[in-house]
Amino acid sequence: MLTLIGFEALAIAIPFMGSSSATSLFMSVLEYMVLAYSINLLTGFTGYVDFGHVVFFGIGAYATAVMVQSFHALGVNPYVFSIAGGLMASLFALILGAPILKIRGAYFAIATLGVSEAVSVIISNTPALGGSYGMPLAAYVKYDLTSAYLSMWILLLAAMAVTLYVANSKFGYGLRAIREDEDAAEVMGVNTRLYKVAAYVLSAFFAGVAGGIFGIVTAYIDTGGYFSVSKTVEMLVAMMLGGYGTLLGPLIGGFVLSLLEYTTVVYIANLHLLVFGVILILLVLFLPEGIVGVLRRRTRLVG
Amino acid sequence: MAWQYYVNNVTNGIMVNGTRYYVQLVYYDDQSSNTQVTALYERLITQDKVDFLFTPYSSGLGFTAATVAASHGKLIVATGVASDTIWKQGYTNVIGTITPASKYLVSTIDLLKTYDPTAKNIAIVYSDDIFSAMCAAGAKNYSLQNGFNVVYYGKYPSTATDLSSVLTSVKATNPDAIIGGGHFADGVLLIKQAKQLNVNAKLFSILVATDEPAFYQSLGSDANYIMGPSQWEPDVNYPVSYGPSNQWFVSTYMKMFNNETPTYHSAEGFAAGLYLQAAIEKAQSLDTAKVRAAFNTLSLNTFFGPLQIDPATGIQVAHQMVIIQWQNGVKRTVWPPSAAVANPLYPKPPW
Amino acid sequence: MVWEILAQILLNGFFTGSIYGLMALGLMLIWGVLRIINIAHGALVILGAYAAFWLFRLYGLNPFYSLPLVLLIGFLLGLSIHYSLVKPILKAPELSSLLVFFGLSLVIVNLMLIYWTANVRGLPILYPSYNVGSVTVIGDRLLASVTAIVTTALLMVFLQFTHLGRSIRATVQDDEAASLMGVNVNRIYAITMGIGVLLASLGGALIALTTPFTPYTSDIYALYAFAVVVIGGLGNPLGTLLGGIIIGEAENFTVAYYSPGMAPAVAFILLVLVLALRPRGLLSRRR
Repeated sequence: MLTLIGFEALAIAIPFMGSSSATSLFMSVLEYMVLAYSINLLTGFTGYVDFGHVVFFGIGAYATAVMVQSFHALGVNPYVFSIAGGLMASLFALILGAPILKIRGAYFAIATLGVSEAVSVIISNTPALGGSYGMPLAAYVKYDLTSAYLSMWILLLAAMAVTLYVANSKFGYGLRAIREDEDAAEVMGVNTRLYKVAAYVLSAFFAGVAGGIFGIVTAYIDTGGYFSVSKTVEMLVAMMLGGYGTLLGPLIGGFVLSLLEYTTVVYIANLHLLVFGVILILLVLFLPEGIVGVLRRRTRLVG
Repeated sequence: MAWQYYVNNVTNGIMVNGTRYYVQLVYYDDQSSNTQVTALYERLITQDKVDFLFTPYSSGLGFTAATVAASHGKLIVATGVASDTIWKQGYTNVIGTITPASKYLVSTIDLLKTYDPTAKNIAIVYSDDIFSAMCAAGAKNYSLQNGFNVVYYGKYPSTATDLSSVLTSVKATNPDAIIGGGHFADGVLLIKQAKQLNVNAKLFSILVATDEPAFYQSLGSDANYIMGPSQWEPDVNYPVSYGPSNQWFVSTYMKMFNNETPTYHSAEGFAAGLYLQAAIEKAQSLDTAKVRAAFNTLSLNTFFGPLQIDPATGIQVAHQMVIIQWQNGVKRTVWPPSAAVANPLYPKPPW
Repeated sequence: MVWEILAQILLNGFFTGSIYGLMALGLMLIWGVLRIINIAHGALVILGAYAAFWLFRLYGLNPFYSLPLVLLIGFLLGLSIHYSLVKPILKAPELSSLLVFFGLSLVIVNLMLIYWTANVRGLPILYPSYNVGSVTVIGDRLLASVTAIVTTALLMVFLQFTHLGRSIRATVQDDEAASLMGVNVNRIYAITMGIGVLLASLGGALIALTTPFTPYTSDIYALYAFAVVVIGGLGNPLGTLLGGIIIGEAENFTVAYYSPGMAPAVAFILLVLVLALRPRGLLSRRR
């Protein structure tokens, strides 16, 4: 834990040392981490595989964009509006949760994918949200990487705090019980419906805020970029790599994966996705508990 | 890259106040992802310390790159970015090289009006993305202004795998001209299924796809008579007062890249570099503000056509689209008359 | 005029829908027998499309002539996927199989992108259209549609009347009971994977014939195949074909009478609705 704090202090210091290139690299590291925490709250704890998790990232970005366009005159730091993006994503999860979380297993995965694609198509057919044009924000916000970076840090710490709480609470035990055997959990008196929806709403919030923050940084939002299936892939792989349902898994997985992407992107296009695919297969076959699982087994052996 | 070769080996650098500057290009693959664009442009500016920037391909990514560039006070020359909205965001640092999207299909309508005063009905079908939607909207406005009826105006998903019912609806409106499209796959599909469903019009003008040699490879003789707008063609014939001749560009490019004929994407990349070079020479400085000011009064006639920006916004105002038509398996420039090498074949006979 | 358009739209929907149905047959079979959702199905379909395309481009082979070779490649590929990836995770939780196939899909799609680029591929028009009254029948789509119907019928006959087919059906119903009855379940699993990927390649060959494609098209076909199987149910090829036709018709009617831009949402809205109403899928089954 001590080394972890030291590492955070170092990273936070980066924007003030003046290298915005390093800052923006760390932005994508943070993006991976936060999104991995987000999907971990649902998939990692309950075992419900969400293939459409990017829908919350997208909804968060669009909701934030609408807020920015409507209220930029207030003069507050636009990154505040990303909270509204998170709330909107949560609201969507709340409404969708009850019906969709009734669907079990692989059918749930497919249904979420369907939801994400349908929402994307509906948005690109809604003129009020820019339709095919997307939503440019450059006229309303100033490019401010430092604020974005700090917002991402706050979001990451919040996601870690919530995960820490969930991991050690009755709520978290209930979610894990659902993952092991949902019917048995229900018999044991876990209100499975409530628990699942709560996890869904929580996880949506973090993806939504992240979408909002990135929407402001990139200054342009469209459905192609903000609802892309490959973003869900990145979240899932980061979570799996680190170790699902753990506190530090998303942090480690997100870190390793984003650096991997950054180093491969310079050489061959699409190489990183190929590498991700291989990693995913190898993980499931040989390392189902991820890096954290291995570390835990090691320490247990040593201890 | 051809431009780098041109500056470093043909004009022997860019002369600024007695010093010769040579060009070094730095580039990365952006994976068409906005978040990657932020990271890579930051890297270009702060780590690689480049003096001037070019945009990535596609309008969505262009926004992001322009925003990063603006925050560092850098000039960014737009190439492959055509959506007008980028010049409506209050940026002053984005220099347009190519004709913006809203004017992409305008010359098609001019051509139609010139060759067939009796033509009345235009059907516009387009792919659901910012660039194509903007081209279509521009075409719709211009058609209405010129007294045409827009009898069909509809979009289809950019990933469409079947356009039969879109075309069935278009057919029912009995159009004189069918214009629109989007990117390569849907453009090919549009023509293929128009033939299969026997949807006829006197003129087809389809975005982007028509310009690629692969268009003819995919469709064979069905590609004949199909027109399309293009920023530039290997056979264009503009008067040149600055930079290399069109012939030099095409032959050098082919020598450098395995005998591949340059597409307009390559030409606009070269033109963007050339445009920047002219501005630097005029400013006699590498200072961003001075170069930006030099662009305001710069008016060039290049192999790519005339170039001039609107001083306030930086949007390109002089450059015009040419129209190509596949004639007997050969792609020929047929419009405007100043650049044309052949007359358009009109009307297109039924399939 | 109104009726002719209606007839044309109906026909368009039928053709498109039967191609969707055929493309989803392999997914349905693997899903039903192994209880594994092959997320890589779309990538395998497009791989089949490339096989048909290259055989045409390089050797001038009509996709129907090259079909035996394409199907053989598909069958062998299915077997090798089974022994390398599926067998080790048969007893693992559902998450594992989803993620392994997700990984496989990423590998296939990105290998195709790296080696064959994102350039659009497709075949020229090989079969002419016919006019029946004022309704136009597209030649290659008609052939694709006939192939879909014949394949569905053959698959039904195979499952109903052959020994192997009956063993497969017994495994769909209850794999433990099947193995008690002397069925070699592991062999059935392997053969099913082979047939499933073979059917994916067949779907791919028809896509090459009718529609331009790129490696990225994989995702779209995967999504459509899921929607078709969810709507059509597991275990019955006819259900899959009908599921495809329902989606095809719904989509084409949306294009013509509502909004072409909304068409791609139709399949997904249907998918989510069916799942929300029947959360364990149309054919729920106890383990």
